[in-house]
Amino acid sequence: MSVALLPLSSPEGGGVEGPRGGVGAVVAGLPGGRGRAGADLAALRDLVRAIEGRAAPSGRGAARRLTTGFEALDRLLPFRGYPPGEVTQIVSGVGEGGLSLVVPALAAVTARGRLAAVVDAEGTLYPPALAARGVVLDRLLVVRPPPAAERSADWAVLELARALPLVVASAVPADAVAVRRWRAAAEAGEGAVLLLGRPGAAPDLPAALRLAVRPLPARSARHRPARVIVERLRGVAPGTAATVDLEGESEGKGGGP
Amino acid sequence: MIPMPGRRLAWLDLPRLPAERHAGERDLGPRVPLALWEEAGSTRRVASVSAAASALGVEAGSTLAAARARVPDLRDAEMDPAADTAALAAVAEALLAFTPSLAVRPPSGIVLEIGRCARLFGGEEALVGAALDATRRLGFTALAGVADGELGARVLARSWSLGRSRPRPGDPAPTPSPAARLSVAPPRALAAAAAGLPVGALPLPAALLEALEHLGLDTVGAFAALPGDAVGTRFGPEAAACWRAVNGREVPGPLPTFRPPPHLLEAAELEAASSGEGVLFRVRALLERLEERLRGRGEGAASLTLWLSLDDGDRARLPVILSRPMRQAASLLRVVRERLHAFTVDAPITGVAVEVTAVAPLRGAQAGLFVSAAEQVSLLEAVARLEGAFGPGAVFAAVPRDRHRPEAAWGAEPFSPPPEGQIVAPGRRAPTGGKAADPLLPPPRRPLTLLPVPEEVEWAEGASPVPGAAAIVRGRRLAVASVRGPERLRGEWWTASPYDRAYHEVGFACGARAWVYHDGTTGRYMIHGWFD
Repeated sequence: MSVALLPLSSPEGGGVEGPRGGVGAVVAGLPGGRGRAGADLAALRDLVRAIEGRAAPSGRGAARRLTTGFEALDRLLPFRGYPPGEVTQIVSGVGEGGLSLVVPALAAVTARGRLAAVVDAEGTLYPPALAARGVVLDRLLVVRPPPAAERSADWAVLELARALPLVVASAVPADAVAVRRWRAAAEAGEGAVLLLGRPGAAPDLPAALRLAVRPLPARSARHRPARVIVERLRGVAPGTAATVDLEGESEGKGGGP
Repeated sequence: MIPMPGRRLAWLDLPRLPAERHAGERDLGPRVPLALWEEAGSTRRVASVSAAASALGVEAGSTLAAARARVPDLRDAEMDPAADTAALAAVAEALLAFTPSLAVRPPSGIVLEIGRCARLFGGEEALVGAALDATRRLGFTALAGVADGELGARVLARSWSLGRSRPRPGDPAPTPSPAARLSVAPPRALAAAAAGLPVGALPLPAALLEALEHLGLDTVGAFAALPGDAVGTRFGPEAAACWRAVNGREVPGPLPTFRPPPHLLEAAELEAASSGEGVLFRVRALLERLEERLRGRGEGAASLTLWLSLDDGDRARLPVILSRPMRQAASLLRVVRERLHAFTVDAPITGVAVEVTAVAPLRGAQAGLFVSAAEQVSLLEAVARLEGAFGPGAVFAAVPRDRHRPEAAWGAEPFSPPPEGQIVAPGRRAPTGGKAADPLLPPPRRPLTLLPVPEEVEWAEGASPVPGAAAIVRGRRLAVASVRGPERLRGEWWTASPYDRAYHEVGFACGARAWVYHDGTTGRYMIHGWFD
């Protein structure tokens, strides 16, 4: 049985507004089909869940999924991970775990055989620690823009966002224009850009997702609990948070604001 | 049993090579009438003309004075046989993309052995047509013929430059290609195919051709009908060889091995001293020529040097290192543009040259399972542009090194990833900090950031990192909540910079975690990194 996809924005009716103002789709046919039709239905259900902010991509949709590496955080986010084709801003203080939050995503991407990049504007990234956490260094491009270079670090992010599925911009100075450019580049390349910054740095950036990392008291030195707060994301209430252990697995479920 | 294909040879003739080479080097457009001359006693005789000059009636062999009288705005220059030979070799280099067996026949011919390669390109016509396209991209007009022998193919190619006569009814005429000036004589059918061509198509000295015409032999067929012994006796061995060829009795010898020119260099003068986009426009043309040549060699450029001739007589050199071998002109141009972006010269640029200073094998882009070759190319281009803007040391892949000293436990290497999508073996192992890895022990903990210059920590109370103590870090007073360690690292006592450190992982009450060491040499506590 074939399944036809029809736009919802028909002249007779309204449409489902997606996260970017796009128009959703509906299935005109019988649900529950098998084979390809069933897969299409599952993908569409995922899309609707993603739009509603309770996504769990499966099947073909899972191929583009960019997990955070923390189950509790993934459950909070549409697409069960960082939004593809978008810029995510992650804010944390020095030594408070911002980089630890993105390392599992780097490990997942590189272990899947894809390439990723880190634009290390401060020149402090320590690759042996990345390797110890599962990042395949062969597949990780590191860029350290010299301070006196003609081009800026945000240009480097723009160049890479077009070509790679994941680019981490660590302490890269960015303004709203740069972030919009990154987003356009990431969207074209179906990648994601994760911008790590410090609190107070450019708080009004037009990133699709903004996360804040707040360390929590640890029971022991082996654990590193932190609260990851969603400060901005369409479809998710600001202040929604998940508690994760930055040294390992997720600790608990997400909570309300 | 698979029959062995007979020998099939293609001849490419570049009749306007000197004029087109000269025009290409000076960016003279196709509408500029140009004549190249050579000294003949006390007069200058035109030896090569551009298509525009030919259309205006200037012909090779006339005196330069006569040519100027006919075309007052004629551009002229002296012939440069050495440059023409080099240009012919460069074309042959590009044609290696079609067959490994070819030979240069100065002053304007290239012969290609295509019998065994034709099926790879969809037939003889397709192969030679592609070769003509490549020659045209290099800036040269070419005519081609295909036959069982070298002379026979040459006769067919030359006939295009004479204005071809119609074949007689019933003759198995060579197949003309509408898109390119190419004639293909079927196997063992050259005699009939060439019979209707003018006798001037024979590659013989002009005086001999004139003598043949005076005898009433105006077609190749008439020449072929002469008795063979008489041809050799009366007109010499060259004519006898031609006679055998047009009668289908040519036995081609093996082609000598062609060795590509050692230098991959393309140069051009700028018509008017300029800078900026004008220079890039010329660089693009040079890179397109180099792309063809590199494709013929099956190689990519690993590094380039851009030479700029300045109006004040000086020369500027701009090296461009590429992270991966590349040959596409568009890709290379983006890298060169990035390098030029940050490069200034003091005088207008009057000439430009691009030299490939290092090559590497490049037999085609290898795509991964999930990404296209175009995506990989875009990444390589991005890497090359970044290297151009930041320098090669700023763009790298990290490689762990088995060293105790933390800051020496890794190094930077050029980014050269395996193709995306390839199944990943366990990646480069994490360093063990110089210690033999013990499967029963957890790997040593390392911070995600390491400060290039460690920062000193002052302790408000006491002199050691213990829970409850307070540290002054970057002007802030931080309470210590947890301490893990020490991990003692010492060594390199035999060098000028030995080290003796006791590392602690210090957790502060604010949630930050630092990697602090006590320097056994100075007695100070230093923050070396952050568990960010």
